Amino acid sequence: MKLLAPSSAIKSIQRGSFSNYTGNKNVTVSEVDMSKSVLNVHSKNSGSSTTGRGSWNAGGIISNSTTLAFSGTSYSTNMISYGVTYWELIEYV
Amino acid sequence: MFNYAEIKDGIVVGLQESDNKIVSPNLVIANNAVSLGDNYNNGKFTPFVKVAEKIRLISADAMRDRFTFDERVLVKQNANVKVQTFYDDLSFRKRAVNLDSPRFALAFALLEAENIITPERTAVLTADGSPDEAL
Repeated sequence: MKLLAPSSAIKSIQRGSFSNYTGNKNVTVSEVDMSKSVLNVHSKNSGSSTTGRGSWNAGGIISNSTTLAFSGTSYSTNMISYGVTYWELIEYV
Repeated sequence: MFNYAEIKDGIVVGLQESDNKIVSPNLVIANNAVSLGDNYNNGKFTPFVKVAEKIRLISADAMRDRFTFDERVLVKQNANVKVQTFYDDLSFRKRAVNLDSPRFALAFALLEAENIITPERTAVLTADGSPDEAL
């Protein structure tokens, strides 16, 4: 019997982060098969109570094979430059 | 692995890494040492140097402590009801004091008009907060 080396079900992973934006934002990525890809998004607010209170939320979708579309909200304009969104695009085989 | 940075007004506002090349006019080649907020000029990245943030919100306790003992006595002795009301409000205040508040600017103008503080003292009383004065 021939043993097969374990193979990964993941074809590619792209990662990124961005800050300093309001509203909608598009990110260009290397081409993926949308039907086999998943986008994970995490956003955080790194502001402090001394610069104003607020929170940062962002979500994203795979808009087309080379574009991710994000939208974000900030509860305080002071927070805009402090909000950071992290994303990870996983394409499966 | 390809590393890219998105630049806006000379500042790195986005980072990406990919096994494959990405074609986008918004991206420039970077390396994995580049961070969000770094500066970018003429093809070179320089690290972001964080400038200490000004503290303009301080606790009410800190605001009261900024007044000298003699100033507090002058407040108590002042016959103007507005002066008494201001200091009562400050004494019972739980929320932070915004040093840029127009209302506090009016209050300090009142204290100056009543010769309780000088304009120089107003500048000291409304100066940036220290970390221990922040909430």
